[in-house]
Amino acid sequence: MASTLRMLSILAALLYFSGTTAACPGELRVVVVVILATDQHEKIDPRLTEIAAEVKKREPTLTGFEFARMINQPVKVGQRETVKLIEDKTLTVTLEKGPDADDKVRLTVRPPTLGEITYTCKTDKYLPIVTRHITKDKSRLIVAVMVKSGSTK
Amino acid sequence: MTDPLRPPTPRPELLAAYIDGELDPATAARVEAWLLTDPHACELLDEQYLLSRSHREFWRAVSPPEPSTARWNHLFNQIDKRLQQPPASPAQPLPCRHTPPPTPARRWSFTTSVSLAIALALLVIVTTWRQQRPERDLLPLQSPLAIPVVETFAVLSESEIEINSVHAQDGSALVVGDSVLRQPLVLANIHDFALDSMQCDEDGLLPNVPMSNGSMRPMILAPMDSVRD
Repeated sequence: MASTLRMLSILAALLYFSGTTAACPGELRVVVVVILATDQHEKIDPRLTEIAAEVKKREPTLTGFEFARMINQPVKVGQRETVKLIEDKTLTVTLEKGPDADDKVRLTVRPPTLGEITYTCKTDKYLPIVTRHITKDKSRLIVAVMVKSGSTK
Repeated sequence: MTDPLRPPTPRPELLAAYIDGELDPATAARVEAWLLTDPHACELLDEQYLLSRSHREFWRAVSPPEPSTARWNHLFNQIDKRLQQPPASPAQPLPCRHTPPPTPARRWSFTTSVSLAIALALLVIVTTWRQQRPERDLLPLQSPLAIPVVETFAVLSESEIEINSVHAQDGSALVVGDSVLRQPLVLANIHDFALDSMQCDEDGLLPNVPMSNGSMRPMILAPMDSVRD
């Protein structure tokens, strides 16, 4: 009897987690990576090598890039979601249009210190957004936004 | 005071020896002369006679029977035979008691005793072992036909879970999860991106979107000349 209850509990937990992690029909996953760039050091996270190179082309003073946080936010088409980034800063994201034949989606984002930006981008590719927000430890906030493919059921 | 002409009074032990006939003739004559002259000695003699008779009866009752002459002769003959035998050689081993071989009945009894002892020892060991086992081992045995349920902790695979939010310093602690934390970020190129619309911020500034240079990846860059926390 106890073993049966335990097995049922595990099954319920699996169903619960599968329900919370898997996207519902018509729902996509927006991945937001929080990056802190600084001129205080030159350490670059290996995962941020490409972003660091591109940012340094525009902002040569930023030499250090730190991977701070990753948010995986499910969004439905036409639904507006708010993502907490760091400290008290948030990013609002709206999935305007789902993937087309070229796996491109349209998003509207509002990063900290910036107005709303609407763009179309291919899935699984990141768009870096360098904000003007400076954190308490004198780092500049950068967010990279990506929509995952294959998350629609 | 004693009379020097009177013979000395014999000791009472002489009267006892006189009654038992153990005195030599000279001493016995001297005791008889004393009895004739001393009336008190006659009273002593009568008392000693009664005492000696009771002693004799007592001795007769407790004395072992006297061996007969034939018995004495048989005993003396055996002693003579032993003395005539040659002495034993010191090199020869001393005679020992002969142990007869065990009979089948004795062998069966020995085997049974050993078996019972082993069985008793095993019983004690098993009983002690079962008392020291934990309670869960003493549960009633299940039917051999019952299928044992082996509980394992199922671990989700990479495709079964997605991490909703995690700090970068905690990402290395994840066993499974989103591969975003483990793979380099792939940026969109100029063909993957199209800017649809853009609004000014609160200061009325528009971010830079450098896309003219083909070697650069699309990026939205807020100008720093109006930095405001």
